[in-house]
Amino acid sequence: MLFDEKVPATQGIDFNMRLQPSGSTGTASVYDDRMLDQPTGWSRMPFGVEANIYSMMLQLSADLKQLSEEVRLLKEELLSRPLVSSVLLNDLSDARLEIAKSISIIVEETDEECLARWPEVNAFGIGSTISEAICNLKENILDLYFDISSREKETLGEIALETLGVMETHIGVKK
Amino acid sequence: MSSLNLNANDIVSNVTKKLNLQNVRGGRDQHGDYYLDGKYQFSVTMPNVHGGSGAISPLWLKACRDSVRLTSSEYADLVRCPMKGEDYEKLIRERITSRSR
Repeated sequence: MLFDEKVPATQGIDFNMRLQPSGSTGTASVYDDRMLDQPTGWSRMPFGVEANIYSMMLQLSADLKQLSEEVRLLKEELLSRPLVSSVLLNDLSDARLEIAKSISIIVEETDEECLARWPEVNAFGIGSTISEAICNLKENILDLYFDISSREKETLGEIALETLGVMETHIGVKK
Repeated sequence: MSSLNLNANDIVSNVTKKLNLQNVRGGRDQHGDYYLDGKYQFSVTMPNVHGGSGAISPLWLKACRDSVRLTSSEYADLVRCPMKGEDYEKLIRERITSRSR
């Protein structure tokens, strides 16, 4: 008999009978009234199914329901997180500067906007599309480069010097 | 970051004041220069306040937070008040020391 087969009320089992040793096998089935309280696709214990099997079916059904809820929550969580990818930047779209060594940037994408960033120097660009975000990042990199490199080195603190060092490794002046 | 629920006005006023930002300039977004011991360290990004105190998108918030070299909870503390300017300075000094090791 299939588990999902509904049994007409008239064919229902007298559960008290199930407490008796079951005929040919001689094994005793344990019946628990709580089984009937659990939400399940089965309106009553299918005919011919041992009480302990029925109990397992109810437990499996409850486990499946819980798993299904957990999968739904995980799916929601995943969909709300930005999609992260890594891109190599090989051009700054500027007449004065060029890329001497490819810059590895991180692109994060949500339904509403995109963020492109160069983590080593804390430069970023935001846009409604990936290309717009990268375009803004390039502008931000140029601003940062010209801002720091135009200052006297003696006036730069440790973080600014480190940022300038990283930038000079990747960016060169066009000849 | 989205759960931080910080608004643009609070970020701009508290970060500018506590970090004593210099040369604050506007545009698509706002920037200010952070100095430690009289030396320029980095440029801080803040959202543009366009006549409102609207919530900021998670990615914008992340960009603003990264610009001050703080974690999400530290940034929330900075904007919402528990973290004072001196506390921030102490954190940055610790970070500079750990980077140079």
